[in-house]
Amino acid sequence: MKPMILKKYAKLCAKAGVVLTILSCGGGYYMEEEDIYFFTPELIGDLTYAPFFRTYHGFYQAGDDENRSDFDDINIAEWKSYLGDMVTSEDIRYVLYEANNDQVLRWSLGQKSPDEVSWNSSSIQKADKKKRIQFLKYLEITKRCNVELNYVHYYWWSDNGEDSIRQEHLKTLRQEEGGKEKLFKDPFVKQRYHFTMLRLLFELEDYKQCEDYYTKNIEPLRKQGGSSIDFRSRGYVAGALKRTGKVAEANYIYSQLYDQCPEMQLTAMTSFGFKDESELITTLAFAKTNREREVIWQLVGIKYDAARAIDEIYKINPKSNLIDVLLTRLVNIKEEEYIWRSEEMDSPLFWEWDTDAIFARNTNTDIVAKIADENKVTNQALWNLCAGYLCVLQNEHTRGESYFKKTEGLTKDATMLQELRIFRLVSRLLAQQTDDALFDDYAANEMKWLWTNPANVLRTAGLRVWSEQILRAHYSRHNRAELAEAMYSDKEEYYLSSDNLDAMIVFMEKGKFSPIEEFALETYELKLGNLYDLKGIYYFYDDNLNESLKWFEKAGFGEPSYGDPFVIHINDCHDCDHREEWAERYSKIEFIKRLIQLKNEMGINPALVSKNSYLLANAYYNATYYGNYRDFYYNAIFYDWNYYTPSHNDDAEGIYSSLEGMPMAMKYYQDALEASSDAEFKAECVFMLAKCEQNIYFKTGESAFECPSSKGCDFIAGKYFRELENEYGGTEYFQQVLRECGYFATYMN
Amino acid sequence: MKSVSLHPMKWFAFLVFSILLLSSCQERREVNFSFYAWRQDFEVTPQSEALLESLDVKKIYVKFADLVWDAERNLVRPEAVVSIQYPKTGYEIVPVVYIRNEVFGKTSGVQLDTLVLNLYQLIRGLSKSEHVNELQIDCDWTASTKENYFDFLKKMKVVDSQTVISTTIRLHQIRYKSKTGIPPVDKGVLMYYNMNSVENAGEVNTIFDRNTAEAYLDKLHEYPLPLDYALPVYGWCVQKRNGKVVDLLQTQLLKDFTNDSLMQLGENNTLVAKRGHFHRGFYFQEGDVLLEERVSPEMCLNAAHSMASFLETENVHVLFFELNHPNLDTYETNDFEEIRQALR
Repeated sequence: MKPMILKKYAKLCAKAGVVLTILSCGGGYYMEEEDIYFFTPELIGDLTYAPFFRTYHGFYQAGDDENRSDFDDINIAEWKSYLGDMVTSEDIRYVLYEANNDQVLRWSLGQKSPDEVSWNSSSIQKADKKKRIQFLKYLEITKRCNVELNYVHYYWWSDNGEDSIRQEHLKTLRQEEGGKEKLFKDPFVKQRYHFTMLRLLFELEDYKQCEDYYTKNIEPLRKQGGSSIDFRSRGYVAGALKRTGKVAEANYIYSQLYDQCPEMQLTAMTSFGFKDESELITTLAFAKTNREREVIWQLVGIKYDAARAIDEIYKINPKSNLIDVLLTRLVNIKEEEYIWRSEEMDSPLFWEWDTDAIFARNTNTDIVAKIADENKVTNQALWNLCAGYLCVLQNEHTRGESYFKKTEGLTKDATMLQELRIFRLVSRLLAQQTDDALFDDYAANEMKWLWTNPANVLRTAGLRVWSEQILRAHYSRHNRAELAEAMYSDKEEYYLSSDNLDAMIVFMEKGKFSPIEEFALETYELKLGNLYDLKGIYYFYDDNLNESLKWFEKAGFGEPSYGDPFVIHINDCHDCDHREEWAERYSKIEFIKRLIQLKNEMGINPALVSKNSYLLANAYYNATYYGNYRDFYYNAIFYDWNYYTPSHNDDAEGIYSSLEGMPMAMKYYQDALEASSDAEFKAECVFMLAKCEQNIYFKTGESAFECPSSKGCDFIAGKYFRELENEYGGTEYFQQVLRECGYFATYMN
Repeated sequence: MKSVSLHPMKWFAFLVFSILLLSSCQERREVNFSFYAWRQDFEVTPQSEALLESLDVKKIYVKFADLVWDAERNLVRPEAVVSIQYPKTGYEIVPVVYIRNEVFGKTSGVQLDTLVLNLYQLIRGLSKSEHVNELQIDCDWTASTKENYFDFLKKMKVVDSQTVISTTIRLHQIRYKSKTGIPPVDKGVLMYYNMNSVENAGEVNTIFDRNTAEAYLDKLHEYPLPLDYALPVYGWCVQKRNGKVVDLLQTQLLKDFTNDSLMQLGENNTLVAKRGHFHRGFYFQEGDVLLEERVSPEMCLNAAHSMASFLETENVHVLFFELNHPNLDTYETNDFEEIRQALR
């Protein structure tokens, strides 16, 4: 038997390259993408940079480039503070984002009309008159411009030349609305007017002019420093600079926006980037303070290289609050490399990983240990915790433990101490080589804790699956196969062997369990009843009906069949049989009892051999993939069998060969045929044998999957079609088959 | 009247020559060449024009756009739409559209009608007044997206019945045709490259490997679509970190990085980053390994020989991937003529 750990799981990881959602084959639950990490970045406490925690998508919120509405609330709040408290946010929102140009123009001109309820009752009427007039004047210009500025290119192609028309409109707007800054006395409104003009130039793709306009009007544009318009103007000018080749200056501005304007953090990070080292060096030269340099390095760390950025920031300022998020990314990235390395997961056993080869690859985590050792960073406990964990991931467990001990002395934070406990468990699971009771008890204790107590924020879902798999591997290695199977089930594969089934029954019946066995059995989805049921199934296919009955009675499952398993038709149709109201339905126990009865009857009375053998044959036929009683073999262990499709899988083992093969059905149809002298009845038996023959062909021949019916190789005209034709051509049943069975009709033609 | 007589030996020589000539005419298939052009800004440069002329190339297969699934807006949209300079002298431009398989995981039924119409307008728009004889769709479809993809192809044909619709066919789609199905189109083009996972770069040439290729083709003769064949003339750099591929530098060759002072020579003709740094718009962490895979003229000829052993048609149309790739600088006109000979 092949020991398989993580097989489905590993294939998903290996083939997908990017793990989106992982289906755990052990526990039957879904793992979310963050479950592949054991280290919880939220431990850093400050969640300012949470969008930049590592996920398999790169970032928590990547690709969010549609920021059009991000500033709406801020904009409204800023206008409110300008217009005064008597003006409501709702009214400002309406005027800014819902009212159309004509409305604004009419209001600006003081025209009122009866339908302008929204304006007549608007609290904006209560604002200072001068401010209100400035507001409306500004809106008049900006809303006119926004028609083109807020234009979104959604169509695929248009013959109407929208793009060039838009450019013409933008030019006209620039001519007609430019130079009106004198209309605005208040710096607040003047800044916004300039911002609109800046956007016009940007959208005109006149980046040099955009840059010049900003330089020329930097005083009004930056007057309201820290306002949203200040940030957004700088965003536009950075975009223009980048397009005119001033990449370093643009990157410097992006780093500032990333640091100072949370709403622009993601877009600034996306725009930030370099072609070569000289651009990075020049960008750093723009930075005026250490903080600014740290921010630039943090962005480099988040986008490209956490280890290098940690090193650089640490050199500038070991106490920097910008460094911890990079540490979390570094640790999570290392976990991707070490914990879930897909090619190793395809390997059957964890301990056979070429750990030396994996660990030798590490080049850039020493920086974490170095920093932890130097005792200069603010969050010393976190750095020691991570240094220890990275040692563990590199198989240096003793060294790891020395950092864990230091961590204990540095923090009282309960969540961090729980994380420490998790890392110690990981370390112990990876390091354990011998089979000993002390380890068993430790593992039992920690696994029980892992299932119940850790803080919600900690990432335990993936760890639970992983640790069960490691333990499964450990116990397999030490020939404790039943415990291994109960720890992390590979049930389909495992129970193909009836020896394994017997061994597991003995194991589960023993009554007294060690703590680790107790844990494994509590989380094992199979109970003794499922195993007894499987014994009954195996005995049935061996035609040992008395034993089969004994085990089914022990299992005690009493669900009735969907259809009548003793009925057969020319064409198989489960659903038709299941719909029949008259059908006699049997529980497994009743089914086996009826079979025993049929056998007994014909043992006593030879006249019943043909009829009873035929019924026995029907029963065996129906209890295969092709019959109406798939539920007979469908159970908690072989769930997928219910949907199992015959394939060209030549190595079908154990019960699979019973489900796809027809040995018992054919035996009894043959017995029925031989014992009867009634031509009609014999014709039926021969046709059923032909069906069995065809089912085998589905499995072994060039079936319909490979060969279309037009080529005529989707069925076999074997021994029994010929026999039906040659021996029973005169029967009514022959005619019926000719009418109902397409394959046979084709054969006869 | 003066009779013309030939010496018997001359007669014999003439006869042998005629037989040779005749037999070679009969056996040799016609081999036509075209090129793919995959860059977003397409024009025929003077350098490529010389090559195209010398090879008697009539058609260029230009990628017009990628179609991607926009999860945010829940719709399909075009990306990397080509900016095309139509050549003054008559090359036929065949639009190629790359559609991510994901699109057909998300788009079905009437949404496919919208997709077809949008694409039709895009192609017509970009083609301006040029007549479109053929449209090629490139999609690495799978069993799960087959139904929607094939529906899309049928609808495309309904909208534009005059245009030949072709699709790219990957090797696995030939081998496992019963699972992936046969696209309902006029013809296919078999991509005779990209036959290994790029993760294996360094162990095997993942662009072309004759053994891998031929293992897929035992059932080629059963494939029911007429096929053109695409051969690789490109190369790329694979960036690996701790043994795993982190980036594929598709238009770069190793020589583009040999002057990078922060790279040093590694084992087996690789470059290794001495420390983290940016170069040519890429970032390399300390220890990152850059290795090159490219198809030399000899390899391409080998691929042609390999393919020739499977060919059963009278004529063959071969597309090279791709025009304007820096690796093409290593090819001479004569290399292509040898390839042509190999396919005859």
